[in-house]
Amino acid sequence: MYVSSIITIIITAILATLATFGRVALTIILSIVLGWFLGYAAVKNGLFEGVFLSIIQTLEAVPVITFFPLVLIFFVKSIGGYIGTELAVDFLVFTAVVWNIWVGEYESIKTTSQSLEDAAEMLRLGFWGKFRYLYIPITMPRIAGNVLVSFADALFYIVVSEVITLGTTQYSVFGIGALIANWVSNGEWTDAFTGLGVLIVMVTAVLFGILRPFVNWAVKYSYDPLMEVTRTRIRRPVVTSRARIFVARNIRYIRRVAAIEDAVMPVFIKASSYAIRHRLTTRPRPRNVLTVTEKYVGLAFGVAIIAWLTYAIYSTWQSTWVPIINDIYNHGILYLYYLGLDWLRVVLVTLASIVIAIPINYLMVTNRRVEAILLPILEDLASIPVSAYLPLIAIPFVTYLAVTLGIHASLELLVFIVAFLSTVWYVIYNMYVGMKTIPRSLWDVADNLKLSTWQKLRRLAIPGAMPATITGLASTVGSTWGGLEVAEYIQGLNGHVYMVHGYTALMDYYTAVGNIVGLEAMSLILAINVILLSVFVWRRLFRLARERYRLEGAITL
Amino acid sequence: MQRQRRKIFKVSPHRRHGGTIATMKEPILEVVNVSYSYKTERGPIPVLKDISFSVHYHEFVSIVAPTGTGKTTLLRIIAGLRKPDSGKVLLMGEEVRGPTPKLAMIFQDFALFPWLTALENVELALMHRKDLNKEVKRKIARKYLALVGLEGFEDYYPRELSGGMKQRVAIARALAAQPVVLLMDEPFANLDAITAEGLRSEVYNMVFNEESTVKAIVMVSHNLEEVVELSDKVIILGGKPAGIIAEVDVELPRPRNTRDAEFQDYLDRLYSLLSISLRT
Repeated sequence: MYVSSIITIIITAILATLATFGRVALTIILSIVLGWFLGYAAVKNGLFEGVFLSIIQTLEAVPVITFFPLVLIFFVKSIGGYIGTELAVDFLVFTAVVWNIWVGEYESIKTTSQSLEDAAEMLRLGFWGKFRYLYIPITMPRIAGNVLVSFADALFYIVVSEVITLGTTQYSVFGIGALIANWVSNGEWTDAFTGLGVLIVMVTAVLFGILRPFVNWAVKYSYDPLMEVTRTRIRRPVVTSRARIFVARNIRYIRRVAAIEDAVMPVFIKASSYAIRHRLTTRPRPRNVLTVTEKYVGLAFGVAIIAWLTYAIYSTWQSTWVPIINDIYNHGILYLYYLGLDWLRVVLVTLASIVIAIPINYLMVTNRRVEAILLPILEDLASIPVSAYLPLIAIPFVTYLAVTLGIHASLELLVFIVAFLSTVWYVIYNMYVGMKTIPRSLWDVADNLKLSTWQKLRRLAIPGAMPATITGLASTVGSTWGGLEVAEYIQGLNGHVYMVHGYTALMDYYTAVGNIVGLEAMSLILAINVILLSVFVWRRLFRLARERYRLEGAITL
Repeated sequence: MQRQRRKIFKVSPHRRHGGTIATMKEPILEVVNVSYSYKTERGPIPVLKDISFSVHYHEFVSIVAPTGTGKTTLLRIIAGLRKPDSGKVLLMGEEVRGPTPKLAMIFQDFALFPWLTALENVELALMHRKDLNKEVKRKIARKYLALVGLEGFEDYYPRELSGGMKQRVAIARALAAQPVVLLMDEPFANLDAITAEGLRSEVYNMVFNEESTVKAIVMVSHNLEEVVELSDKVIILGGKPAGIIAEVDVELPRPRNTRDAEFQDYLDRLYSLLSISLRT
């Protein structure tokens, strides 16, 4: 009886995980396919390029999840029922994975070598032929570099979005996230842990069974000379004489480590380093020059869009915009205060992640054994969404620690830890690539000059790793926001609701009580914030990272 | 008309050396008053101005100029990959309006598709031929790979081949397209000196071969020694925007020896002409 119920649970969990993975796979494949055509169009047409890039650069760092309630309302209202919810969930995951992939594809196509393009033209491959033999293959390494991160991102968002309460109505679709949330809120802990276990096993299986082989295959498509360098660098460690005795004694163990090194690491390094390095080092080709006609067409489109927006706002002024403005007028100060609080959390989490990432990466880069063991573990951890095991780590914080620390401090700590856990992997990952691609010769010089560990860190490892870290920052901040979103407002644990003072907590609260006007007002403020941030911070930061990188000439091809 | 011409191409390799007088006199390729400018944000920058020359049957013509003169651009215009601002390119009397298989180009960086094997790269040249089935295409591709001396390397990827072998694949691909004129953009510049020398001495025979349809070659280079070694005619560009400064016919018997006094005379002449072009 007991055994059969466990089996039922496992089978349900497996099916639910498959449903969730199906959504993820579908959205990732859809983004890849769309990206080929959009990226190609952007490269060929200056006008489209401008629009495409502005949209991507703005949305890349957006915590998409914070807009989810509005998206859900839209889909449920216009389509309705289960299909509406399903589409809303798929749409959310799509917006979580798509920007990375699109940027990668666009940049790959944009940096296609002129002679390859001319050769394709000369061989008269035709439109589809060019896609098949040139543009699709050329994007493969970048897609591979992004697919691990996209998979993790998608899982994170899908797990939280599979079940959502709007006012008094609960919307959910069949999937592992909804299942675990359901078990947790019913207090069925065995089931919840079993479900989580199934998820972890299946994530690992997908990672090692599908994604790694894909990355391994796709990297063959690239022509990056660095790969040869990294491959020679991570060959089996040189065995010193003392170690030789060790080897004689523990030969099987050493073989195993070496095998892990050969089998696992190159894939990871190749894919990730290719993606980040490609972004940093490929000569940015100038944007297409706009023709006069294109300028006029662009102007006309711009005017039309502004006119349409004005009309849309005007026609819904009384019904939609007046309440929103009233709401902002009444609660604006509170919203801004909460927004400030959340940004403070984001900054603290990011700093903490960087501080943690530095020693871990330094250890990995300088010690091959540590690298061989830690890297696959980190990669797997990064792919298991915090949102799935959040209820489980939340338990001590709302029980034991709430009593000893006080509920406020305890919840604050929980929020910090969850946001940290949803961020730190990506910071480590980005920084690792930066540090790993510092040329061997510079490390040799540092050794030759007998620099101390501290000096090596300060003069070589950290500055070498910074451009890659900064470039990754926009998306890691997005992840931090995702972490805040799930942790600031925890519903249905022991039948209680736990929340802290924060922007996403208030949005979640509004969602739960069905305060649509407040939700719209807050989404509007967030949207403005995101646009300003993109224009004034991210773009400048990227340019800075790229230029400094070039000035230093630290990486030579 | 079109069909008839095709027929002539197919027959002509076998009787190349007995070609009629008429075909020998008429230029195969004519460049007529070609001008071109780069389009930039700050307006057009003229690079080529009023360039005219012609290439005859079985002629190897080299275009020589200092770096940054726009000689590669000129070659791309001839290939139909860029449109000139004014002027035109005539291939056997017909204007070139876009890329055509009759004009094949060999690139400085080889332009091999890294995700395709050597054989697949060569087969790509036959993609547009709807009249051939897969097996025939494969057979033709194999034949051309063998012609450039790469038998046994069909299934190698470009990254597994040396620089010289890559350029051989590129030559095979260009020949497989069965072009009338072969365009070469600094074909030896990315090879080490020894490989380049070996390939140079072979390339003439590879291209003007029984199996090949090529009737003339245009090469762009800044290596004067290779230019004198290979060319029948040398065109020197200079100035800004660039125009033709001089045309030199190289009348040396083949195979040519770089140590001959006459060879050195030609070299000196070209050097002095090129230094004039640098001054203008």
